[in-house]
Amino acid sequence: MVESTNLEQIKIGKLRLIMLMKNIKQALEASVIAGEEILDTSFEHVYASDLMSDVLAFGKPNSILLTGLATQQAVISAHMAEFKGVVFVRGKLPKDGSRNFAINHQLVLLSSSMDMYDACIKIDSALHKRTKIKTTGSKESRNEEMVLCQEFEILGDDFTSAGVVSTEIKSILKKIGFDPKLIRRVAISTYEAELNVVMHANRAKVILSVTPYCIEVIVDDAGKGIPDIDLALQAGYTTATDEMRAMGFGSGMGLPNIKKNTDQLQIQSEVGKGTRLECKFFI
Amino acid sequence: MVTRFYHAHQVVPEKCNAHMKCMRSCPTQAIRIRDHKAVISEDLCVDCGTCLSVCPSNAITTITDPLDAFSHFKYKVVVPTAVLYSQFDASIHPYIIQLALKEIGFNEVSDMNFSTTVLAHVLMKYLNNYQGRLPLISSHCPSLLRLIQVKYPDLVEQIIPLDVPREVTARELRKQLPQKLGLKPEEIGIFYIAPCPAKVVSTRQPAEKAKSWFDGVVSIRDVFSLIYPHVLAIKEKFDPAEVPEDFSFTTGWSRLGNIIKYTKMENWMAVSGLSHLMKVLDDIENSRLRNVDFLEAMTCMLGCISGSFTVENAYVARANIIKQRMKYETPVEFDPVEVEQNFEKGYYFFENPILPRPTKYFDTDLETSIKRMKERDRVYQKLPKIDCGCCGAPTCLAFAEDFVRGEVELTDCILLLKKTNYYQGEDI
Repeated sequence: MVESTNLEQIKIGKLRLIMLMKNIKQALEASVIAGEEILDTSFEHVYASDLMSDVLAFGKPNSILLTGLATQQAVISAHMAEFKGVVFVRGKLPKDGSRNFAINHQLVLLSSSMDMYDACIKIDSALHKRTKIKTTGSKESRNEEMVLCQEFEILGDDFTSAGVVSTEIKSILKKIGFDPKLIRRVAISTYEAELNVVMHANRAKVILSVTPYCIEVIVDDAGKGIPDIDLALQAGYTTATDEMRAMGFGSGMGLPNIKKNTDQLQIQSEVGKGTRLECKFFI
Repeated sequence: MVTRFYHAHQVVPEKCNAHMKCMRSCPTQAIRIRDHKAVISEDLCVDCGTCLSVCPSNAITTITDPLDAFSHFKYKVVVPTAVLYSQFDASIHPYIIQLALKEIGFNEVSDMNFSTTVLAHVLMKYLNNYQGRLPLISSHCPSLLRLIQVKYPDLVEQIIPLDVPREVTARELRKQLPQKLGLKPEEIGIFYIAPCPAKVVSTRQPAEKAKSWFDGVVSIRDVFSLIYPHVLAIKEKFDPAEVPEDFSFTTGWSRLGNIIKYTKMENWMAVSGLSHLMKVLDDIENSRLRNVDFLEAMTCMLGCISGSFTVENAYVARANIIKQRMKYETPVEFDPVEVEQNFEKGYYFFENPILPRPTKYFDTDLETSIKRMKERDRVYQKLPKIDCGCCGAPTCLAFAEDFVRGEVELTDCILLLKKTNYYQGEDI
């Protein structure tokens, strides 16, 4: 008889399979044969089988083994496959040799009166409860970095989509709860930069990084570049075509407006290659 | 300080079958389904009334005053919204509707004609003197005010600080009537007939003053069924000569574009409908709207005539209004010198400034909020992004936000569950 269940780990945010040996003991109403003092160790997978060659072939490290084979063979196989413990089902008890082996090799041995099928289901539903508890908490771990980084893409010549990125950035900043005045400055600068990309470049990458002290928006485009940055920063200077101006753009206020609204602006540009704007806003 | 926000509608849990129609249609994503019932967030709701009209089980009810609640007033004055007239065909003279209102127990019917005309004049004056950021945004739609307070807090300073016609009318009545009738002020009840729940909210908990000048609000829907038989009966034997000489009629500000029509300004724009409006407000925030000085904005499509308390189809109402205006409208005379003097004294202005009411999505502390935002994005990437709504949140992004606030569990997303073989070994 071979049964197998493999509880996959869900690696999202706080929803992580965190299950300890003692939880298994509780769920299966099992008695401890060996490893009473290491019941706090965690494991990641469960493997159920009576066929030890399968355990060695398919068992993943840091698992526990559910088996009805109460021989020393089972314990040795579990150790070989780098398992953390063995649960004997149907109330079977291993011999003393197995117990000593387990103690020497830091394995937990449990024995439960349930049969293999029931034991698997119990573990699954215990996991169910466990993850629920783990996911409801809202405490963040302390060493998590405080920088929020997001990337956006702007396509050139697409006037209809101008404003999409700045609106998105604005909505993120609003939700974080920054001062509305600051958000407005960021939104205006990003929007102007977006328009510049739409008018003068093929595509651009926008990188937003947010810390509690500074908001940075980098707009990196692959476009024709700016030959004279000082000139471009003068109000009213424009290279926009009549067509663009007919659409209400290109009044030569783009870069000057960005400069007015940012706390620190760096422009790097190479003609024929592209322009990189780094806008910093201090909080 | 925790301020509770009053709302004119609520979910009746016994009736709610969690059809999710309201959750999906809510423009500010204020509704979630929790334990198979719709829950409206007080902070996010802007009283637009969309949920009222989409609920298939009528589980969202509005709180208006019942008509018999006013019986203790000796003298009852009703101020109907101009929308009320639009609910009737243009063949019915507006005066008939006023007579019908008297039939159901009101002593006097007072229109907002004078206030709208005066305010249009004052509005032009304010615009001409204004030096600040443009465009200025109209202030008479209470749902719009709340939308700006909640979602566009930076734009509150662009709302025109002039009071709205209904309040100015009630204030005038309050000033004149006690003397005219020889009654004590508390013996006179002044009521408003509202086209939407937002106006109910704005009389119960005004955004701009401590207390409204009205004593109560009734809905068009409630009034309509009462006056309709009277209107038909009066129409039968009505003679146009009965209309008093001083009767005046204007269609007010109830329809989109009417303010602009009455003020004759140049660089204007008129927007209605929440989704369109939010797009325009986004553009204003990005300073994308250049060359617009004045924005007439209403959250209901076409203006108040499609408010959720109305009974007539908004397009029919619009046609009615246009016909009524051609047939019955008479210009209102006022003394510009007196109005301008009052204006200088600040008579037409809001009592208090409109303050932002930004939503606290996460913590107040920036550091935690940034962390949560990061967490939100990580969770969002794992979600199916099809906005099925089965988890009880309108979008996957909203679900991710709820999750980082600790309100939901990831296991509430059924698609995520399926992907992770969560139910393996369990009965379904």
